[in-house]
Amino acid sequence: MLKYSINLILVLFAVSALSQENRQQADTVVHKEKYGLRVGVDLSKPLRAALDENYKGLELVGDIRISQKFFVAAELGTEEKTTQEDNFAFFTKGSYLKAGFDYNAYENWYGMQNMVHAGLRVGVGTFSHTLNEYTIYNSNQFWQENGIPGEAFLGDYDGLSAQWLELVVGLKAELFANLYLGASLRINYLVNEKESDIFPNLYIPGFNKVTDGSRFGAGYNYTITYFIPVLKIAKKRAEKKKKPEEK
Amino acid sequence: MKKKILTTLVPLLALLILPGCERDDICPRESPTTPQLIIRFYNTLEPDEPKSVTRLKVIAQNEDVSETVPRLNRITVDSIAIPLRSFDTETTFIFIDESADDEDGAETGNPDFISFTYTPQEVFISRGCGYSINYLGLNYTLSDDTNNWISNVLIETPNVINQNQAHVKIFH
Repeated sequence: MLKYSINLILVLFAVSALSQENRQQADTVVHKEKYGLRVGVDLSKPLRAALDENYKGLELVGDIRISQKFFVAAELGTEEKTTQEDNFAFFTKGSYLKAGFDYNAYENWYGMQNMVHAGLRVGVGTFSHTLNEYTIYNSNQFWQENGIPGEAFLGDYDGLSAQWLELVVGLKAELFANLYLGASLRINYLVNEKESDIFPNLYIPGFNKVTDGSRFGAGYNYTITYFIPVLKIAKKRAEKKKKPEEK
Repeated sequence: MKKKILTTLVPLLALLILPGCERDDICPRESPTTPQLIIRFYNTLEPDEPKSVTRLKVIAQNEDVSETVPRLNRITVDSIAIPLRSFDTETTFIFIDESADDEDGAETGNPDFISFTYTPQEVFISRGCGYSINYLGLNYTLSDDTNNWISNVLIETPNVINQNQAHVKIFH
């Protein structure tokens, strides 16, 4: 019933808007939208930490609305991860900052603040690896040396860093007043990295897994955020509607 | 409200499944890992001409091991690949020319002893393969006997880091 009445109201709005345009009058309905700061955390990292003893992570997320469609957005995070491969195992620890913008492509109904967004981030991270164990790979079994642990390269590789770009697509839905659930998928492109000659960067906190022979990576997050309204700014509806008549 | 929760839960489930779809990182067969030593045999009189060794038998000889290298048992070839020890700086081989047995089963071929010395160096290859060994500063010692069938040995590539070319030339 509520749906029908909302639809009815919308139709009436549309009709009244049309009739107003015909008479070339300004839109007198002042439609104010909330601007402010949204802050929260990535829920997937604590969840993953609870399920996987080799992982710890925390990511704080935030965005600020700067226009009708654009949001300045950032993520700040820290990760600790032990990676076990067939022939070696290593521990990575580091933190990262991602900053950029989101563009909201979703046309909200009056009063709604949901987002289906696409955006871009610049990511920077500093981190270290510890090579915990490794064996020498030899496809020839004659001397039966496969599986003998190496020692020379064990230890810490500090002072490493990386810079990358992220293409973000995601959504945010207002679950309760000012409380949002969001999810995003990210394609990462590694622009620059500082790595050890002896042990390369196979995992970068924030960028995630680095694949052999590729500069692309992938990521996701699942956020819960709280919106702190600061300003109410009128949506510029009237101008938009006039445009076709100016031609 | 229910719809909202549903539309946000579905991506969550999808995202949790995604990490399970990563490709396996296994070491591909064609990946360059620990190289074997490549030896080519040449004619002493015409040093540019490859010359096959007849019924060559190669035995790897070290403290507690004396074993024929697989596939190098009385074959006639002009080039061979032999494995070096990765956790040592020396590997010794016996090259037997015209290997055969007499009635009692004793070896009648002509054995020559060659020791190769080197410095093994560990090197990272890839996520799937991990680390392998390169053999640097390759050198050799040919034991003198009164009847060497090998006339000369030449180290062509002292740093054994791949199997793309011959590392050692043996003239006979």
